[in-house]
Amino acid sequence: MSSTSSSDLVCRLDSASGLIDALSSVRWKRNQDALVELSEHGIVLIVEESGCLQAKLYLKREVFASYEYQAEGRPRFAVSLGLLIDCLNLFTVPGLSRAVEIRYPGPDMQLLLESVESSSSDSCIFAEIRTKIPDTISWDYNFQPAGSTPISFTVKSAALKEAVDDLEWPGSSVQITLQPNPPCVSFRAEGHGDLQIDFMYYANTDLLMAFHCDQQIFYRYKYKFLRATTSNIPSSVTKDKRGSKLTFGMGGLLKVQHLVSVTRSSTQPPHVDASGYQLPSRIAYIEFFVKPEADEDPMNDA
Amino acid sequence: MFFILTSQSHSPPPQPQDLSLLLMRVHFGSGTSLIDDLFVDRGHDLKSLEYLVGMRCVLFRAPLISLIHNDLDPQDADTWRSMRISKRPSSAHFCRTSERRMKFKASLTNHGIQILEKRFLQALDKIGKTWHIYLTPDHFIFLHNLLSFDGIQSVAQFAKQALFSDYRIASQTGNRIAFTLDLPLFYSALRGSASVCAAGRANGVHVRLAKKQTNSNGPNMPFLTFETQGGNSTVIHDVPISSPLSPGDIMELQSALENAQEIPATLVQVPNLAKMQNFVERHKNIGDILKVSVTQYGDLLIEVATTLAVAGAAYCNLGVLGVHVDAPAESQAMKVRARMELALERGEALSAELKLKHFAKSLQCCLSEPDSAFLGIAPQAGCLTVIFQFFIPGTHQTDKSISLHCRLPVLET
Repeated sequence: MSSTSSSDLVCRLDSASGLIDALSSVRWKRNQDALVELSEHGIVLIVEESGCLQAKLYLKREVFASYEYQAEGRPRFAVSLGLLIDCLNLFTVPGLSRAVEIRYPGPDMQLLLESVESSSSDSCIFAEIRTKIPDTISWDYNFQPAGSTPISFTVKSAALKEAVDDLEWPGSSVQITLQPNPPCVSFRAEGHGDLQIDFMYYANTDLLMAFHCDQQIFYRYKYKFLRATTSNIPSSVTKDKRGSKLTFGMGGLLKVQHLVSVTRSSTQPPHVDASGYQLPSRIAYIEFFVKPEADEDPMNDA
Repeated sequence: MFFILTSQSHSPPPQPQDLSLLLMRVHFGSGTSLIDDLFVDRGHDLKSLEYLVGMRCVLFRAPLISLIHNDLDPQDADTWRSMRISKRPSSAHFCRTSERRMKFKASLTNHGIQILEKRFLQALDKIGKTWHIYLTPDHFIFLHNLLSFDGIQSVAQFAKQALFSDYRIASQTGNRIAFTLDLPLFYSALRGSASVCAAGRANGVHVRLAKKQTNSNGPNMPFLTFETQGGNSTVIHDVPISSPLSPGDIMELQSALENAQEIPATLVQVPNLAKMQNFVERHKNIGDILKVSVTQYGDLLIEVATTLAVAGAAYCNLGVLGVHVDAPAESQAMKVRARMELALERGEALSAELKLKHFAKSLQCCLSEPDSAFLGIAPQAGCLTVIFQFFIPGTHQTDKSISLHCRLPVLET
């Protein structure tokens, strides 16, 4: 893998663990294909389901230890997300964890993974993953904020995940209500029983970190889609006490944003600045778009 | 003190002083290989018998033993070879001659308990539940799947001194006994005995074959009995076993064992067994067929190939046992995968496909804490062999009293 002349992309990660975390975050089913788009700015990976749920993972070029891009245009291919994660897992065996080089395309348009070894090393881990030509164009959600001020709130990722997990009990759909006075976010599910979880802005500023809402809104979402946005949040996100931002767009389109660290190597300390915050260059951005249920009250968009 | 000695022939009965000679032979002879069967008449005071010869003869502590002298001249050493030692047969034993004279009794050492409980039984339990136990005059052997090669075969062999301080066996099949048992039950019984020993209340664990009635009217059933004698109590664990194998089946088992011990021409050392195990486990989600390739240069390639992906690892400069050649100069700078293809073309490598789960199972043997492992492909035998090596503690010398290996069937391609 020394020559880069025939490849659109050759990039290198110090450790595959962080990338596995990020990819796992957008995996909610066993068999899912992901659309991968390469560019000089980085890699975007898109996963979607039945036109109602879409996840995007942004891996900026700064995420990688090295990033050599020489394609014209933006190559796109589809790959099995589960298989990609399983193959990356080979590079994270305790005691064997090592840097991984990602290359596209291989001789047969495969996505190639190979461990980066020192010249004296006597072993090498490899994976060649067959890619597919994407048969559908991913849906552009064209997310636009409802009203002049984006209606959004930021909540601790761990608290959001816990709330959504708890809402599994009633099942069915979940109504999210935001009201400005007093500022409050409510999750309510009715099914086998009723359960309502309220985040009061002034009462829980450590949980509800930001709140922007100038009018009451409420939308209903399918529980399984809402759960997909939080089900595989990696433990590093909750451990780092990160927040997740939920923004409501036109028609109740919900955007959920997470930040996942991709520098999780035992040998490499995370890049931190003087104030102790991790530099954003090693952060993967994850966005979920969830469509509301169809029987929406048109009053919401008034 | 009075002994009644009977003779199958019309020879004169041996004199009392001959008993000293007889018992010294029992005690100092090479165990069961010298004297096969000795019957002492029921009810005699055996402590006195020991006193007579001025020693403690462990064999004679059992209360019901009969002694029959069936040879002509007690002074002739050769004639003593036909004498046999066994408990007086109960009525149930008369149903089968081979079982009637079958005896096994041994004392597990603390080291033996430790080896079995903490290391080997954990590993063997992962490989399979049903095992043959094959007892020979010198070895205690666990055999899995040796008579039907439809899965992983495994052999764990212990020299008797590796596990036992006292080991006595007798049977009409060359002093060999074999039976099957459920390994989890064996493991459970040993753990129970070991816990009594660990509490410091036991004088040792005695293992023996026994026939017992499970209910008042039922037939006698065979058991492997673990007896742990404490200060005031005796803890007994009975592990049900199959009926002992017939002489013909034992011959077949012995033959299968000899076949299973054939070693491939080239064996390469498995790099870091525990990590390899973890690594192979991670392939399970990718595919279920593993391809293993071995060169005579010391290269090893393991990979899973499906229609969607090929993934694996390549290793070079590994230790080699058996046929070992240097890699051709032109391939020195090649990557292992490329060199492997060249070696296969040159006939200096072998490749085989097998079920990943079999390979993963064989690596579970690392629970037995081997010091190293080697693998090789035997094309004629249609198997991949994984051999685990154990060193004498504190040295780098192979402990020949313990051996463990697995044979994995390869798929026809």
